[in-house]
Amino acid sequence: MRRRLLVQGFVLLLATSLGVPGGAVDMRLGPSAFVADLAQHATRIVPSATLSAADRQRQLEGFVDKNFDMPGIARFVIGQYWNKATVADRLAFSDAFRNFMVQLYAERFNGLSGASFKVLEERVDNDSSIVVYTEMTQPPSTKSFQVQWRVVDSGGYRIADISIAGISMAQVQREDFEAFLQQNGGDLPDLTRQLGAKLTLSVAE
Amino acid sequence: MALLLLLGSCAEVPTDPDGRAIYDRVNDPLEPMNRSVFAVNNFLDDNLMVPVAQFYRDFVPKSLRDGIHNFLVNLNAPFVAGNEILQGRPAKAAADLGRFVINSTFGVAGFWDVVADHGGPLANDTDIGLTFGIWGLDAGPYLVLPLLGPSDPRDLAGVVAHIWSDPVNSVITMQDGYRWAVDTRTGFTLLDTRTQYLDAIANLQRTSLDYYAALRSAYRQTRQAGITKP
Repeated sequence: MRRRLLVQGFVLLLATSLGVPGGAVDMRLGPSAFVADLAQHATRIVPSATLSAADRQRQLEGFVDKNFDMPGIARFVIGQYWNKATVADRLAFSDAFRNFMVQLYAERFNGLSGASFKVLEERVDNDSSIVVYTEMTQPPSTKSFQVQWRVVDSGGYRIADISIAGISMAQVQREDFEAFLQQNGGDLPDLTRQLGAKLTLSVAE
Repeated sequence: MALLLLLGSCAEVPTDPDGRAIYDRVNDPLEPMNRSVFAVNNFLDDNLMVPVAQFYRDFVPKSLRDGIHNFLVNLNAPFVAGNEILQGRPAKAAADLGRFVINSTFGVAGFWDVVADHGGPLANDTDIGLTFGIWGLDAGPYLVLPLLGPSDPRDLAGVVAHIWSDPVNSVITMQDGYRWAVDTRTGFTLLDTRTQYLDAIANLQRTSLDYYAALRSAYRQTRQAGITKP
């Protein structure tokens, strides 16, 4: 029962911190339009016979770098350990984390083939990011899933987090990485190496 | 003796402010014991539940699996509706009871979700732990229960209350000699649930550096979402 809820419960994790109702914003413009376009684009980045693996990798990297706030996410997921790290360690971690996330998103996008997204509403968050609520359907299933996209404006809209089934990817990663760092004396270079190893393993599979 | 064992299972409280902040935020003072139970649960999951669920998914026709899933969801509907009333959500309760009546009849005991198939409302899901949460009860520290997995004192109380309050099970056990039906339902519910989330859990396990911490986070966020969901 709880396992079902683990993946089934949805949507309102962020609701307690939300302020402005969605109806106040013109959703044809701004973050909602950005998310709608991004989500549709993501469903089209799938393996293709006409695209080499290297070209697809380049396409993915460009897509992630352009649309995701990777420096902000990298900083968030290691919490207080960011401030303690040297500049070189931060850079190495950010690079490894970005490569890891490109791989992760590639896998997620593969599973989105044929999916469509409908923007439900957007709400301004306390810390000036905006959460866009979407509903995803993927035929032949008639069931829909709600997906939340946290958007920040850093010289252009970028995704800072995605929540599916009420589970924030960035928050899970933060607790995952903080636990790892706590158990390993805050050794960020070790975390960076482990991410690289995960990536190598994933690519080999 | 029990107190000594419990004290020995407590996580060491960090003395540095940053470590202490994380310790307070994750609220897992029994982490050493929880990790031990988690390791045993994981072993059983990897070597028993996952192979059985994979076999079920690979060799049982999808139409039959869907029918069993619908049947189990339908059996749970009166319990869900009861909780929705306790949560102050009468409209949801009415929808779930309506679904139960229609699917139990026109859907042949619930094997077909005729309501959803005809554009009606989808099944809701909730439980007593979430009802307690909506009432404002604090979840308490994180717990990993033997065999049952992630939990907390509030959800543990909910599980115990569920055993005694499930209306369908109560009706079944009023008849002598039908205990097997309750056990069969429990077994199929476990199998159905584990099968539904084979890929999601495998992905979390594969992409995390500390699977225990990642699952703890996912569990807590999902429960919180179940409480704040309108």
